[in-house]
Formats: sequence, structure tokens, C-alpha cells
Amino acid sequence: MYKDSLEYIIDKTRGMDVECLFISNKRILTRFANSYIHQNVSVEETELSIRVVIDSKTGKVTVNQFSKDVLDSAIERAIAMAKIAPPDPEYFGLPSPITVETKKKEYKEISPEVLAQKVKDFIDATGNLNASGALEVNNITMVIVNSNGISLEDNLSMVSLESVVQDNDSSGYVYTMEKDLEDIDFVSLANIASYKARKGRNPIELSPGYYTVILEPQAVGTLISFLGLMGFGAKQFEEKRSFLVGKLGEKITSDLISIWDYPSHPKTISFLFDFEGLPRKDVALIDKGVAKNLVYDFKYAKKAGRESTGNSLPQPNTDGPLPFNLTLLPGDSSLEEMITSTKRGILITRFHYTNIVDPIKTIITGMTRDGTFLIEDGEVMTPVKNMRFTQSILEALNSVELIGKDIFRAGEHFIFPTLVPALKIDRFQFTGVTR
Amino acid sequence: MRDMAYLALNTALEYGATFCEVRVIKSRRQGINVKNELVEELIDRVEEGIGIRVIANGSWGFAGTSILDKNNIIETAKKAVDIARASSLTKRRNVELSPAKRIIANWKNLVKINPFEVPLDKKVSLLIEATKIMTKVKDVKIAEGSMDFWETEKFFVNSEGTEIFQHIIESGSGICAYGIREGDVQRRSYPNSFGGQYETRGYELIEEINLLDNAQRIAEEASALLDASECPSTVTTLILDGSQVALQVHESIGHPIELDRILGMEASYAGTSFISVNDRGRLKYGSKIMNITADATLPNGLGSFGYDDEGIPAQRVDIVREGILLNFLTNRETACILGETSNGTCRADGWKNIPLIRMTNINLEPGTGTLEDLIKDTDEGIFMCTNKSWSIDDKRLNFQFGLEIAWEIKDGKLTRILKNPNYTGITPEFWSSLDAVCGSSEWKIWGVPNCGKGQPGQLAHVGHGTSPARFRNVRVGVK
Repeated sequence: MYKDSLEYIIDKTRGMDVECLFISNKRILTRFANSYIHQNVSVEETELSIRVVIDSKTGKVTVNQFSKDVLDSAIERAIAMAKIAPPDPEYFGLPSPITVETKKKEYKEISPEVLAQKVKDFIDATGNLNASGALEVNNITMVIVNSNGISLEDNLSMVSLESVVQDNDSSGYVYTMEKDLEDIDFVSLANIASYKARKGRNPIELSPGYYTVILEPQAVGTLISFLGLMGFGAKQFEEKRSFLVGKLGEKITSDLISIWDYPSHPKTISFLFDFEGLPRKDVALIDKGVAKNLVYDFKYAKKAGRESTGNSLPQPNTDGPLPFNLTLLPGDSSLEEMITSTKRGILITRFHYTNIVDPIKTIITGMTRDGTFLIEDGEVMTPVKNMRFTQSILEALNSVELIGKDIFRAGEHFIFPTLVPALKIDRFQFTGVTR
Repeated sequence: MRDMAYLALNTALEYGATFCEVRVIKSRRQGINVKNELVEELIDRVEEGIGIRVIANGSWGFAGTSILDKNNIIETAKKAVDIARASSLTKRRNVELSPAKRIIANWKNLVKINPFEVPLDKKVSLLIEATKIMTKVKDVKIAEGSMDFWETEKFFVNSEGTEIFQHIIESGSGICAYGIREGDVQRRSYPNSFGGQYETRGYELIEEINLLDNAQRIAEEASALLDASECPSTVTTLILDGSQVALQVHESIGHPIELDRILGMEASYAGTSFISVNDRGRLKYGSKIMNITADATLPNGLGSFGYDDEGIPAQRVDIVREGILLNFLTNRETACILGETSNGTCRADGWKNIPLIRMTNINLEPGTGTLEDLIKDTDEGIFMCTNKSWSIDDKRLNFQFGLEIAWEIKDGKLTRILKNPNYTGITPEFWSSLDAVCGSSEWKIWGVPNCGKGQPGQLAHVGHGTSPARFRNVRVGVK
């Protein structure tokens, strides 16, 4: 159906710069709380955006119906908008095709009964604890066609489980994302969350201040995701809103830190091209502590006299290019080694409701949640009440002592999941405590 | 719309649903984003879809689709029932709904100027002019302006005979200026940050907020912030402007009083609440002058409507009276657990999502006097304006807010500007330190168009009627 629509639009707009972006998603989400399924949804949605550029003036219309009348009206409105819009002096045309090898992946229909049974397996394994969470399946197809000859289609599946398992005054957390439901071990995950919930009973209160912390991968994912929002994009850099202004080529973190936008990593889940149809490329953003590169879309690459790195959001947009597949390269330590090497510190499962305080200094604030423990003399000793941190990400990454050898997909992300290991950080600031 | 809705309703009931509600929605959005006199983005988005929520085997199921042919609507209705049956695999007890009156209604909000009939070039020109004024000010390197308009036509039916059509138009606009100097970026926004002010109104809102007359002022403030001193780290008297009181109400009152959160239904994502069901009538939420209402009937509020997405009429409810918690926000399922009827706060983000308990207009009722009076009455303290960042824990107790600008108060007068102001606190302690709320002349319903909740994530449009307020002994300047 959509292919006919795309051909129809390109045919109707010959002589103009035109781009059609089609995205569809079949989503099933089985949500549970108080150890039963309380919300269970299935949605099939499609949308088609038509971008028309006339004399460097852009109009764009998005619809989710595909009748001839709807498409004709959308084309007319996009052309009318393009005629009214002021010209963009920095319009460089639409990109031309660059070969991207895509291979259509088979989409496996999963019934609601199968998902409900998996959730039941998880809940049963948590015993008498209170399990909440969501098992989500997304099957997304993206098609992009433009008047310069780009014609690409790719699809991907993402299956994720997130759960908070609660005891009276404590909780544990697990998150996983895989390409296939069968790759998720529900009972093992339930056991991990349950163990933390039970171990977290009767937390003590610690005073705010600086501590050594061991961040499990989900907590590291939050730091890396927020860092990704604050400065690696070429537009942010040009506007001087990036923390990297004046620092490219300089050492900004510990030598142990290398962060890539890494679409080719075997664990990455991502489309092979970006939202203007250009191939995704691996980019070393920070290499052994040195700020190396930015990410570019077609426009900002042209402005900089380089090639796009395949980091365009749907055009036009206000954000500019952003990293899609942030990856903190692993080290050689185990979580156990991090704990046993710590005289006094805090083990953190995840962060909650984090927000940016100062993007230039990369300062963020947020809370710990679902498993925060005091480490003393190399052992996890006692649970602690959740604490508020206010901390510069770059300063934290500058005081990294150890990096985990295994990397995981993290739940808090903005476009696609980050890949991150655990970290041991020598100095991390807590500014408050909750009850 | 009507035919599609009844096709889905009848199919679901024939297929075994014991309860069914259907929403068919057609919506349109127009958005304009201008930066430094250039149009960065024009959004024109039209979508239609159907959402079908059922109870079967005593459990919930929901299915939605944007493919609106007859066969697919039938298949989607059957899918909703199949999903409900699957949900019952883990059932503890049957879902029960509180009783609701059968309603046949047609409702629309009052709009003087339909924003979709205002020429696009007129809107674009206004934003370009505003950014032009701002970029002329020293050190203002980035000036932005935006407008957003939504039109929603919603047809609702349920298996209890309710049939409601609603037509809602919403508008919003704002500008902001960034002062940028090496290593420092300072922002000022008008009339509020993150897109400005939003209401259930037409283009008359855009004309009233008068962007052009405020562009120069906020640009000069953004520039002045670059030379300002840092907000000191101390414990002091804090006066918040109305827009920040709105966000304070949103995060530390609006969310924790949602009964689904209190009952643990949002535990895995947004979290729970420090409030328990037994706290009603007992919990001292704040000081004696703290009066909070939930009021979906207020004209123009972004959280105003005729009926919620369970077909319950909009209501005004006392939430906190003289500092004591009296009520929660409820829907039919959670109200039934308390043996009550819903107070009409259940809303969904479009056709593709299930309705959840959402804030309506959650208001701090006005006190007396003006902001000027309040500042005059304050010997020493800090006056903070316009939100920049927010964070609160999963029980809604420990919060920290950052703001765009502050002024030091000395002997009842605003003195020097302070940059990077923030404050932190614990919810009931903070509200107990409230000792003054400005009066009706300063009271305004601030629109929040991006309230996130649920999995998959939903955004709700909500409002907060607030005026500037004063709090004592607040920790500010967290470094």
C-alpha cells in the first residue's frame, strides 16, 4: 500500500525537491502492576511525511491515511507551505543515493497469550513480592524515498522487559532489550530484581557529600544518554551550546573513556540509514579521553565541507544531528572486582527523573532508585535511602577508576538504546536524601 | 466517525466483551519554529484512528489502529477482546467500574479566532519580527519563537449507552533569547519556558500575550545574566513567580494525588506516591493558606474539557483545603476500589493510547495582594522566575528545580540579578513553609502541554491556576 503512495507522490511532484518518509509500527505492550496484568495494548500505526522544497523554501505535511484525496490534499498543502515559507539560505538540496545494504528481517507475529504467559512466568518467579513492569514488542519499518533517487527500506524488532519488584520499603530493578523474545530469560531477571528488593530492606540514611560510586550499566546509560544530548551534534557546536566548544582535540575525561556512536557494533539495535536516507557511520566521539569528533547530517556536513555521518533526525528539525547509538567501550573489570576494591562507596542500580542543570558544564541532577547500597571494606553491606545527585558528567568520567568488561543495552535512552558497561567512579556528588 | 465507533463497539460485544468503549479521533496540528529570523520547522500533521478498550474475562484489553477500513476495524475490535482474555491469565480479581450516568452530549470549547484560519504567513511574520528584536541585543546569539495549534474531534461511545462528541481547539506560543559568551549560555523566555503559554483557546491567545512588546525585555535579561553573580548557596525566603508555582504544583501535588500512582499502578515507570489511601482527611500537606483544587470546568485552561475519556463530566474537586489532603484524582476503576464515583480525570493521548488518570487544571487557589506587595513585605530573600529544569523522586518527595533568572530581595526591594538559581526541598515540608499567596489579579492558568506518564509513554495537556507565592527557609543554590 505505502509503496504505491510513495510512487504516486514522487510522480505528482516531478520537478521539485521532494522527500517521503514512511514509518510504521506494530506495537504490543503488556503492562503489569501489583503482580497482575493491568494494562495490555496493541496498536498498529503508520505515518507518511511529505517534504517539498521549492526555491530553498520548505513545506512538510504528515498524514496517516493513504487515500488519493488525502495524498492530493497533503501534497497541495506542502507546496502551499513551501511557497509561503521564507527561503533557507543554508539549503544544500536533498542528498543523493549512497549504497546501503539492507536486508529485510522476518517479522514474527507474537500473540497476546504468549506475552501474557511470559509475564506470568516473571511474576511467579518473584514469589510474594510486588512485581510491576512492561513487556514491549515493537516492529518498526522505515521507508525513505526522495526525488534524487534515494529509495531505502529497513525494519527492526525490539523486545524489552522492564520491571520494578517491590518489598515493603525496598525495590529492585531489571531492564533488558533484545531483538527476539526468546532471548530473554524471564525467570533469571525476576530473580535478580527480587534479590535486590529483599536485600534492600530497612535502608539507612547516608549524609550527602562526595562518595566513590559503582554504577551498574543502567545508571551509566543515563549519564551517557544525557551527555549525548549536550554536545556531540554539529548544530549544537556551531551555536556554541555544546560542552565541546573549544575542546575538540583536548583531553576531557579519563584515558579509560572511549565513547562512540557505533551503529556497526554487533549489539547495536538501529536502522542502517538515518532519517534522510544516508548510511549510519561509526564515529569516535571521545577516544581514550580525547574529544575527537562531532556527528553530522547532510546540511551540517555540507557546511563543514565533510560527509554526513548519517545522524539526521526527520528533516526539517530544530535539534540538528544527534548521536543515535552511543556506546561506551568496555574495559576489563568485573562488577565483583569493582566492589572488592572499594573501601567505602555506594553501589547504584539506576537513576530516576534526571534532568540537565547546566549543559555547558554537563551538570545533571536526579535520584537513585530501586537498589542503592553502601559498600564497606569490599563488601555490599547495607541498603541506603535514595539520594539526590548533582554532578558534572565529564567530571565523573574524569575520575573513573574501573570499567566493566561486559556491555549492556540501557533503558534510559533518547533514540536507540545505549551500550554501556558498569563504572567505578572515585568521586561523585550527592546533594540530598529522600525519605 | 459514528459508524466506525458502533461497528467496533458491536463487534467487541458480540465477540465476548462485557464492557466496551470506543474513541474515534481526528486531529490536526500546526507548529511553527523560528530561529534568528529563519523558519526552522513548519509542522502540519493530520491523523485519524480508532481506539477500542474492553473488559473480557474480567480483565482489560485495548487495540487501536489507523487503518480504518471496515474489515480492519472488526479485526481490531476482536484483537482487543483477545488481549483482554490474555490479560486474565494473571488476574487477581475482576475489574469493576464505578457507576456512571448515561450521557448524550456534544461539547466544544469557546474559540474567538480559529487559529487554522489565520494565514500562515501572518504567524510566521510575527515570530520572525520577535526574533529580529531579540538578536539586536548585545550577546544574544540565538533567538527563538514558536507557535502550536491543535484541533481535535473526538467521538466516544461505550456499551452503557453514552455517546459524546467533543471538538477542542488549543493554542500556544512563546519566545526565548539565549545570551551566549565563552563558556556561558543563559536563557530567558516569555511568557513561559518550553514553548510559552498554552490554553484551550484560539488565536486570540497569541494576540493577547503580545510577543513583540516583551522580546526586547527578555533579550536584555538574557544578556544581563551573562554578567550576573551566581545564586548563593544558602537557606532563605523564596518567592516564586506564577509559572514556577505551576510546575511546583504539577510535580509535587498533581502527580502524587493520582490514585493509580497511589495504588501502585505506575510503579515501574513514573513511580508511586508518598501519599497512601488512608491519608485522606489526615495528611497535613502544607500550611493553612494552602488550598488546592482540580477543576476541569475552568474556561480556557489547558486541562479543561467537557467530558473525560470515560465519558465522565468535567468537575471541580477540592484536593487540599487549609493544608489538609481531602481528595485524589480518580477514574472509574480506581474510584470503584474506594467505593466512590469517578471525579472525571481519565484521559488518553490520542486514539492510540488507553485513558489514564491525568491532571486536569490543578490549582493553588489565590490568596491576597499583588506580587509588588509581596516583595515589599519581604525583608530578605530571593525571587525566582521561569523554569529551566526539574527533577523529583519516584515518591514525589525530594525535588530540585532550576530557573532562568532570580533577583535578590533586600528590604522589600528587588536588587541584583542572580544567574543559575535553583532550589530543593521535601514536598510536605516545602508546602508547610508557604506563608503567602498572591491574589486573583496575579492568578493565571498556566498550560503544560508535555506531561508524561504511562507505558507506552503518553503526553497530556494539563493546566495549573497559580499566582506568585512565598516560601520560608528554603535551600537555594545547590552546587
